[in-house]
Amino acid sequence: VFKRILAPTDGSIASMQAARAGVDLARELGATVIFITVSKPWSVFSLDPIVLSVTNEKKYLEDTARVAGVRLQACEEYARSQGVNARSVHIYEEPVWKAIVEEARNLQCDLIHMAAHGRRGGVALVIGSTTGKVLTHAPAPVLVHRGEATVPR
Amino acid sequence: MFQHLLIAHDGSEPSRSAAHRGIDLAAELRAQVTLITVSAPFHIENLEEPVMLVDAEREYVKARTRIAQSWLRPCEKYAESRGVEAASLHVFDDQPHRAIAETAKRAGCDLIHMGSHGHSGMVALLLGSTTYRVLTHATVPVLVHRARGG
Repeated sequence: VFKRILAPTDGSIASMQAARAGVDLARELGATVIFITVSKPWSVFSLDPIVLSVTNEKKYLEDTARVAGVRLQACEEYARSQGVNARSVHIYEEPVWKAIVEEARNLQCDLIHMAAHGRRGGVALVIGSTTGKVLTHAPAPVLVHRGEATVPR
Repeated sequence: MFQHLLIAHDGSEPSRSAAHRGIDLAAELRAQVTLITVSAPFHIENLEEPVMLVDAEREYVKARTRIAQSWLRPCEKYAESRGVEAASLHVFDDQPHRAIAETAKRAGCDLIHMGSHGHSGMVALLLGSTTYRVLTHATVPVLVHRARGG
């Protein structure tokens, strides 16, 4: 049913768990997984602390590429250990949900597999804003993964 | 991996199509499925002349059950044709999302599969309200199947 699964990850524990679960599902289905990390584009006018913490564009691109690389490589290694075909993409775009939706379309993914929320999702009972936006704009079915982390209710 | 899918069906075309895709997925995963339809419970205040309709509740339950069966049976047949073990449930609850989330828990389902919109989904760009609420209440993963052209 699903041949190409897009697994977005922002480095949060929830998203890494979701990526692994995506690999497990791909293994059962004989599908390929494409991991994706989206970074904000460099901007001199940015108010984002991560963007502001570095002083120039070159440094920003290097830093973000390194961080994304480590994360995506960990995902790819897990996929390899499970005998699942995988590759990854790192792109610079804002907003994140739009990049995910566009890549799902461009790469012709037939399932988007992601966590209910990533780094910014504080409350376990709500859907993160990126996941919510992906759900409303996705060109393909979306599997919303719940982390094992127990949260007091 | 997933061993027991809960597939929600409200009789709408998008949800029928989502149910079939859920059964296809179950076939590939060799998982079993439980199909669920949730109907609004009988409310006496919904009637204009309650005293005239002593059998109203019984008739209502009968009618809803018949309708639910007309949605669930064809899905069960389809599941059978795909070699998927299927059971179906018809539940009366004012809040479909609650019934779906609770049934998933009680029946030990490890994936909820539903359409992005059911009957009350009007705007193609927005997520249906029941689907959204299931997403916020579920303790297991939820696969949201988008209606084509949505």
